[in-house]
This record gives sequence, C-alpha cells and structure tokens, in this order.
Amino acid sequence: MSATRVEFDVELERLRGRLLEMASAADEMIVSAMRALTEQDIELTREVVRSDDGVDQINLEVEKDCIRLIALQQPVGRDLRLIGTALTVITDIERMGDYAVDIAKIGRRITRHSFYKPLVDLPHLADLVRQMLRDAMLAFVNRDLNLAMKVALADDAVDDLFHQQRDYLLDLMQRDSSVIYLAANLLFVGKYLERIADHIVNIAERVYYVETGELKQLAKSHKTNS
Amino acid sequence: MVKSADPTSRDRIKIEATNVDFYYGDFHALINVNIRIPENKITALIGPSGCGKSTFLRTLNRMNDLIPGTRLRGSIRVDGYDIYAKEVDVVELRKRIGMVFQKPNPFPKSIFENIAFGPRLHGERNRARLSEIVERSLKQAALWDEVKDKLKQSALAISGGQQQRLCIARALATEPEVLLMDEPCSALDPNATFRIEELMSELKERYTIVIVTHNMQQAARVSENTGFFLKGELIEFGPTEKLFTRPDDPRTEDYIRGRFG
Repeated sequence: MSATRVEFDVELERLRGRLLEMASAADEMIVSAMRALTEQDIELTREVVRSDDGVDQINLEVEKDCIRLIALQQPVGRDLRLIGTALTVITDIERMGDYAVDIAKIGRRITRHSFYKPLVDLPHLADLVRQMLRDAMLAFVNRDLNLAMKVALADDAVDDLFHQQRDYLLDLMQRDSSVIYLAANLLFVGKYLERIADHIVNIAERVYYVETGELKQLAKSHKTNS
Repeated sequence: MVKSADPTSRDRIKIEATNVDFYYGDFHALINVNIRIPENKITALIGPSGCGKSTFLRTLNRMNDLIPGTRLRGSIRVDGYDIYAKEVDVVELRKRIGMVFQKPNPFPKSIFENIAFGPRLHGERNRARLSEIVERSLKQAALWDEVKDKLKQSALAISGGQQQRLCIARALATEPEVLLMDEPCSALDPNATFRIEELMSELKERYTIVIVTHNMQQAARVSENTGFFLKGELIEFGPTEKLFTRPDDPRTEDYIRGRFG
C-alpha cells in the first residue's frame, strides 16, 4: 500500500516559494529604504511605498492560500506546522515592510538637513539585519536548525549595535541642540532596524518549530512586544 | 520494539494490554501490543487496513473467540482482572464491554425489542423495568425524542443514522462499562456522523470508549488519546493533539499526512 499527495505537495512547495518571494521583496525594500535615507532620495522613498503595496498583496494571497489548504486538505503533522508557520511568517514580513517604509519616509523628512558626519553605523546595522534575513530564509529552505540558531544569536549583535548608536545619538543631542531633529529621526531608524531583526528572529523560531514541533524562544534578548 | 505510552498517567487505567500477540492460524496479526487505556476517555485506534486495529479492538471483549483457529498470548486486564482467565463468563464480559459495529445491525424486530433484548437475555423479565431501560438507553443515545412514538415499529424502518444510535442504545441497555466502536460512522452521512460524535463525548462521562476509525479527522475530533497501528504493531500511542501535530515516530507522521508506502 502506498499513498502520495502530489497536488498537495506541489501546493506546499508553492507556499514556500511565495514566502521566499515575500521575504526577498522585504529585503529589497530595506535596501531601497536605506538608500533613500543616506542619499536623501525622494523618488526612492516613493518606490519603497509602492513596493509595500506589493508585499501587502502577497500577504493577503498567502493567507487565503493557507486557509484554503486547511479547509480542503486538512493538513496534520509537519504539513500543518508549515501552514501555521506561513500564517505567522507573513505577518512578520509584512511588518518588516512597514518598518522599511517608515525608514524611507524619514529619508524624505530629513532632506533639508545635512548629516553631521557620514552615516556608517546605521548602514552597518542594516547590513547585519539583512544578513539575518538571508540566513533565516536559507534556514527555512534548507531546514537548517543550526542556521536558525545562528540567526537568533545574531540578534544580540544587532541589539548591542543599536544601543551603542542610541547612546551616541543621545549624547550628541545633549551637546548640540541644533542636531536634535536629525538625530531623533536617526534614532527611530535604528529602532526600526532593531525591530525588523526581532521579526526575523520570529521567523527563525518558526523554522525551528516546523522542523521539531517545538515552539520556543531562541534568543534570550528577544522581546518582540517590548 | 513496540512502543507503549501512558499519555495521561494521572488517569485511572481501565484496560491494560500487556505483551499481546494474536494469531489467525499461522498469521501473526498482533505483535507484542502494550497499551494502557484510561477510564472515561475516548481512545481512538487508527492505521491502514489490515494493520490489526479492529483485531485488537475485538480482543477487548473476546469477540475473536468466535473465529476458529485464533490464538492470543499475553494478557488483557480490565480493572486489573484478566479477561482471558478460565473462570471468566464471556457472555457476562460482553455485557460489561459492549460493542457497536461498522454497519448498523439492528435485529429485525421492533425498536423496543431491540433494546430489551440484552436485558432479557440477562434475566430481566419485568415489563415496567424493561420499559424504563428502553427509555433510559434511548435517551442516552440521543434517540428517544425521535422514536418515542414508534417503539413498536420495526427498527429497520428508521434511517441509517438512527439505526446506528439504536445499536448504541442497545449496547448501553446492559449497562456496560466500556463501549467498543468499530468504525461506527463509516456508513453514515456527515450529519449523522456529527450526532454520533456528539453523543460519544456525552457518553464518555459514564463509559470508557475505544473507537476504531479510518476517518482521521474523526479521531482528531473525538478522542483524547490515539494509537497508531501498523502491520500488527502499536507504533505510537499518546495524546491525540500531540499525535496529530508532532508525532514521535516518522511512520505515524507519514500515515497521518497521507504520504505512505
């Protein structure tokens, strides 16, 4: 006796593909948002806002797909964990897109302010965050638990860098009130990047769940709702 | 090695099978089955056709004794007593451990006589007491309101779903402690199926229920614990929620996900 569910398997593969597509769109939004910020490029800001509509659209479509698969295929075990994971991961990615829009809009808001020094730390922070996102999605595709754990650990480095950056900007504002507008906005950029990293840790935790059936917090400093 | 799980150790154990092997002639149908079935819970047994789940169910009230050439090794205890011991009266045992089958099989008699049959067999002659038992059993099986005005009609005249509830009522009439159900809904439409499932969750307050089903959503919906049989072995036994979301054995996972072979 044997049984396979070819069509269902094709659907699940397609679902995985859509999550990767969505994550990759969010990644591009982060890149564009950071360029909109550092280059103070208003056209790029508009582009990020437009991309967000695309990510929102994928979010809705994937959610519909998941509900349909649950209703028609009655998934259990690993299949159910994957579909449940897809439903939460799309929310995480959708929020990441929203933060990218916020960052891009800050780029527009500060166009008339020149930087007190070249922006280095924030682009570095963005690079760390993007690496986390790439690793989380690779862990998802390759079912790689070690990589998922690595993503959770990387979040600590992001938190450290964000705190350094925050302390530096606060200090700067105290010493020179003329930079407050700019520095306060940049403080938000750091915060948004740090939050994006938290959502990526959520994804890594879901990778762990799909593979092991165990839901647990992988990063000790991880508090999405704080 | 056969896995035996005690998923809810705080529960009182109603049925305990230890190292059970079962043979139809030369065919080794159950291989070293160990399971502890808790009282007042619904335990579902799942697995592909021919895996031994129905055979195992029938060992629990010695229905297999009726098949020539069968042999059982190991022990099955109900409330601690070996039901295969020499002194056990099998008719008395089946009164305590009732059974409902796949196809509704009412006797070609009236609704009343179907229910009264068991108590009569066990010596009840008083008409008033028999009426009481019929009413109580039909109420417990959630059928009373539908048939109370036609108790003298043939049981074959009611619908399949009603017939199956009648068979449940018939099993309840002898006041059993355990109810064995062998695919009780496979011949019923979804509505009748949901009625039986609802009934099961009411009945478990008073009875221990063991159900064999091919419908995995049904096992998931109604049972607290599920056992997965494969080729005569009990592969995995544990809380239903766990078995359907994160089973321990890859063979269980393959089966419930419908990717098997």
